[in-house]
Amino acid sequence: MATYAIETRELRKRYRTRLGGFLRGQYKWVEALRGVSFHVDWGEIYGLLGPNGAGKTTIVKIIATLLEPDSGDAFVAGYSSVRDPGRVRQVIGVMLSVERGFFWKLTARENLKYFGMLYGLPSSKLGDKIEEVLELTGLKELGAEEKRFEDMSLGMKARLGLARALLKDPQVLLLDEPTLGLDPPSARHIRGLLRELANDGRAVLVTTHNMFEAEILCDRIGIISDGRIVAEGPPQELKRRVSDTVSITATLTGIVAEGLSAKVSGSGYKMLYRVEGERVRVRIQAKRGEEVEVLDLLTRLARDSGARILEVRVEEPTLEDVFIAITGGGRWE
Amino acid sequence: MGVAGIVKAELYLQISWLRSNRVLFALQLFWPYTAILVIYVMGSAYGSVENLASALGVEDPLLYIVAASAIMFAASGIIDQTASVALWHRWLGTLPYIYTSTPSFTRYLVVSGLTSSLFQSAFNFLALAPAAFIIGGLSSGLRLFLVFAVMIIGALPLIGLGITAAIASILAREEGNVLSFLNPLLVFLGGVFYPIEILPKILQEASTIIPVRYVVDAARLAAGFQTPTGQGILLILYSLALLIVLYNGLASLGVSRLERATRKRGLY
Repeated sequence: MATYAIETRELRKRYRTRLGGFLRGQYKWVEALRGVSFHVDWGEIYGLLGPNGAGKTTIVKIIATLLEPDSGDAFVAGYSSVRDPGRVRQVIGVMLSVERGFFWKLTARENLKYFGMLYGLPSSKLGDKIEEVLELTGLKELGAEEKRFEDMSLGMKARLGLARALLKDPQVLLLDEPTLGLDPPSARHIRGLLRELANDGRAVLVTTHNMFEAEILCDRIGIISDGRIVAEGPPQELKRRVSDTVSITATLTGIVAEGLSAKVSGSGYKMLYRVEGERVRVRIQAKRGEEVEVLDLLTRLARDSGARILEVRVEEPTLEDVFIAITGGGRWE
Repeated sequence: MGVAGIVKAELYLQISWLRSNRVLFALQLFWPYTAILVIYVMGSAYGSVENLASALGVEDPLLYIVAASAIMFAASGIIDQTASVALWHRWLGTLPYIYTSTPSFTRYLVVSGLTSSLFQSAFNFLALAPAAFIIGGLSSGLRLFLVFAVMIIGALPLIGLGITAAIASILAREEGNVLSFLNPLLVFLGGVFYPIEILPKILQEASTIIPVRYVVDAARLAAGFQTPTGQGILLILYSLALLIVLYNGLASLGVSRLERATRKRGLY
């Protein structure tokens, strides 16, 4: 058995994106990955945590042999994704999207049967294997095995995606945002199942932009920002790096988030924000003892902009604060 | 994933899909009868169906046109079919899972393209057989079978182009077959709806490298109430065999590069 279940070495990838134009197209190069190296041990759940566009999915696609890096390499169970993609495909189970990836008119069982045949599972074992993964993912309990994919809830679709990934009995699981948009019970079920699979000795690589999930699910986390892994380690260890800070979180309306962020940064504080419709959720990081100053600053900026503060709290550090401390904050989507 | 696994999976998918889309299933069985209606309308334009037969140079225009339509769908359609299978998977989001299920995506495209093409041909045969039987009894049914058998062989030279079309469409990130512009050319030079002899000499020469032409020749032999001579059939089969090697040999030179280029751009 290879030393690491997954290992990436200095992965780099650039994309050319089309900006517009019909006959003479305008293009822009985007640096998706700028030298990403990390490894995942057997029996470990490793989380790639970062905002949308940070490069998480690109990494998963390279490891899954769906995309070739410009330079660097990824290894799964010792096999190179670039030079030996066929071997890599034999040992991985992949889940890329919760909402797509199945035949809409076919039932859960029919979909699994199709992919089982495609994976070359022997007919004598296919039926039993399908029953096993339906049971394991809770689809049977939900009575969803005879439901068409188009009639399934998001939670059922996610479970079906995981069921397919498990059909081959893979030693390495690559899961891109497996709980995105799921109801809490479904997300909890999937997290529990991933833990069981890791306890069995399988390696699990998950991407997420949900910090809470990364904290409770992953053994180790790689925080990725702008195509680089900027911090790595067990969640508790990462949080210790910011143990001397507190965070002031607030929800505001009637304010331009980018403007507020610039003013907070101008005052020497780091801020992370999310825009959710009319509301802007902010998280401002401060040294312990500076809470009152930050609250004053926030109140003043809100008043000057004619904004309303709907809620404000002082919180102990979380993984979000690790991200803020390392990247300087910014927008989180 | 072996060849048998892909064949089984594709057949299972086709059958499950038809079972879940019953209206389409019924319509696909019905289309030969709309073709018969067209023959009678065209026949009335020529004065009678017999006049139309004479204009087409066949004795059984019904069988000929119905078979020619099937040839057009199946023989030149294999390019579309292979490309559309790949694009359909991309649209559904199943493409990455299929890609990671096989050591060679090209192998998947070859086997799945041929399987779905054979399935469609068998389905069309089943849809057409009653019409052929009504028109000309058992002998028409047998001739139709012969046409389908040659049609399947006639589709083989184009599988390489089909794979090229599939991978090129994925690579170009287009939502349709980027080689579909070739289809009218194949139908036009194949002489699907008229005798090839009415074309200018240079186009007749060009048609010798179009596989569809030989399938049409076989269809015309069958529809002409002639007993196909061993020599005639052999000539058709030899020509098709040559084209299978030529076309697929040329396609294989580019397909592996195209597949690699697809991985460079990424599969979605």
